[in-house]
Amino acid sequence: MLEIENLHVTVDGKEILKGLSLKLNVGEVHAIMGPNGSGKSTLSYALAGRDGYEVTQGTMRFDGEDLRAMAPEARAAMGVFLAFQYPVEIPGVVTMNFLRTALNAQARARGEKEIDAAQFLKAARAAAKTLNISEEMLRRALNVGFSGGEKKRLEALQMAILKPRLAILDETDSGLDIDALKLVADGVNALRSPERAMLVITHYQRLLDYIVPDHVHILADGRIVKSGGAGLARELEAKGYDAVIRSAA
Amino acid sequence: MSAATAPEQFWFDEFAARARKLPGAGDSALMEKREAAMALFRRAGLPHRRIEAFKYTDLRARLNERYDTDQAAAPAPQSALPAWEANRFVIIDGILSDARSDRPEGLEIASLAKDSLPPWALARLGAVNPQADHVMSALNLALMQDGVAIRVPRGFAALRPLHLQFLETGGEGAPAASHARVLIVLEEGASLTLTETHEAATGRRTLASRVTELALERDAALEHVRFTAAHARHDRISSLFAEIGAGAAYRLSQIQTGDGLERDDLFVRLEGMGAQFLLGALRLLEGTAHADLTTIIDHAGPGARADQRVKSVLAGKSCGIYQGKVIVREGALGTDSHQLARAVLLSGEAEAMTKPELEIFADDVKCGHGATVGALDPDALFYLRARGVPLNEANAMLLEAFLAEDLDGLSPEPIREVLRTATLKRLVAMEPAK
Repeated sequence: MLEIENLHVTVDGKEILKGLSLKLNVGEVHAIMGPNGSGKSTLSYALAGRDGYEVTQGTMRFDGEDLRAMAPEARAAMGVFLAFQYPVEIPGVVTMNFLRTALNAQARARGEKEIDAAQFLKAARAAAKTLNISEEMLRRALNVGFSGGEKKRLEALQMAILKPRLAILDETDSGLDIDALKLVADGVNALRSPERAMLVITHYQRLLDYIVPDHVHILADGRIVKSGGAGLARELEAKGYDAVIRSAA
Repeated sequence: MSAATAPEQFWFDEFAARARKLPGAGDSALMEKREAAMALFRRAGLPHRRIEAFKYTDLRARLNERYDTDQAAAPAPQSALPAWEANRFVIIDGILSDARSDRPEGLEIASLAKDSLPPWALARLGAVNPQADHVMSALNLALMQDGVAIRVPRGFAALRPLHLQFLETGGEGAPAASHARVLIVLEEGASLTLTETHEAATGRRTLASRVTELALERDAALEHVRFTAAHARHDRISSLFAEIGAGAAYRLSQIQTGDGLERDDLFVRLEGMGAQFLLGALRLLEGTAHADLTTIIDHAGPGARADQRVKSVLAGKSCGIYQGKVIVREGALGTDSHQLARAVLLSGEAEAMTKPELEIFADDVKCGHGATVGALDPDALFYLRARGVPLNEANAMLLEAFLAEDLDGLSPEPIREVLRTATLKRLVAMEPAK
């Protein structure tokens, strides 16, 4: 489903990813772990198509299509979803309206029918309930004044509503206490499916106790230096990044 | 002044040729006012860029046509906006259309083209918060063809909004100019909602010279909503003079769209305790639009409050100017006066100019000003696009959010809905940031 080969990405003239290769099949959950500055967020932004993340070499293919040639909204319409590490506060844009606009824009781009208002409201309310998101929150401006946990829950809600085929979770655990983490992880686990792949990016192993990956990759200095099963995360937690990365070199 | 330029000479000749045919030619009091105004215009000439208040808007260079003041032969224009419940005055090319206007009960109405103006109108005409050497309103008074004077009597609450609909005829033909004026007196405790729309049909070049005089006596309340839809060949030169008595409140919400030249001078004098002025200006400019809002808020008495908020969305090569001056007179203790200018630039060629100015002669006052200029937040744009919202729609969403609080605050509701729809339509049509 997702094939990344020898990816080099430059930000502000500085090379951050230096030949990253990764392959995700549909239905798989992969975790990428790495120390600060290893390029985790750069990978997620490059996949989602953020301006300023310049691919200088290599390829990113989704269902065989070259992602580089596509605008962020076109990638989203194909089913690529990035759960942001720091969801953006947008004053004046009502959360509920935003969700419906996004859903309908994706439907239009795929040549599908737009969802009607009543149907949407019902689906959104049901999804919100399982994530403990109140209706009052959905009537507020997008992410404005939300706590860290609320923002992450809202990212999970967007994922539930937009039903992406590839979900990239960028440090979804950051800023969450254990209860909030469980809630978000439950939301994510509910979306695990044979039709969907997930790329879970995290610094700590903690999140992976809840979202158990099929594969774990260690990212260091812009490259994947070691790959393994779920056990690799625990090894990292026990030995620390330095030791594991050094032994891989 | 030095030798008159050709555009100035045009107006001298125009006055010489027309003075005897203008309305009120038989009324010596009115003719004296016209003569005095023309004398000022002769002395000062058209404002140009070396005059501080006009440094960004050189009218001597821009108003350079030989204008025809005769009515156009083209059919009378219609408004593109849906109608709302109101008592309507329709002013076509500066002339009040009796056939298309209402005669609201409870208000005293006079056409300014009538030979004998009632004393209350004549006394105030050109005399509301007068500004020495204000050339464009002097030219307007000298050549005033028509307009309307309205008196809301003491304690009267006008329930139905009053709507002034200005329409300019387009079509082929020579450039045309018109000079019209509105005078509104709200007596003690009176209240009124006033809506005003300015629409110009495309075609010939037109100049609309407009003056509004608003006298709010003690405890009067005026809610004023103004919407303009200009085009590149339409120049709108507008001056508004207001006096606000103690306890009186004036709120002006102005929405400007289009790509014409618009100069708005706003002179507001707050006369005493509890007087209040609120300005909310929204400008959605594109093409080569040039909108200059220049205000002087004069805190003449103590305990008055003024709040000015100017928001601009600037596309193409448009230019949005806001020069806001606040004067706090000696003894105007407890003055509270604020101004905020925010501009979003949608193109690298658009320009926003903001110039606050404070003259404070009293202690114990609160005066503040702030300004921001920038592009739409790239993080927010990316967030929306990453969820599948296309760039132009994401732009419109953020712009709508930028204006939301002002649009939501428009009142009353039917007007809010019409103007919100008209505004959002313009937003979606505006070119997205590159």
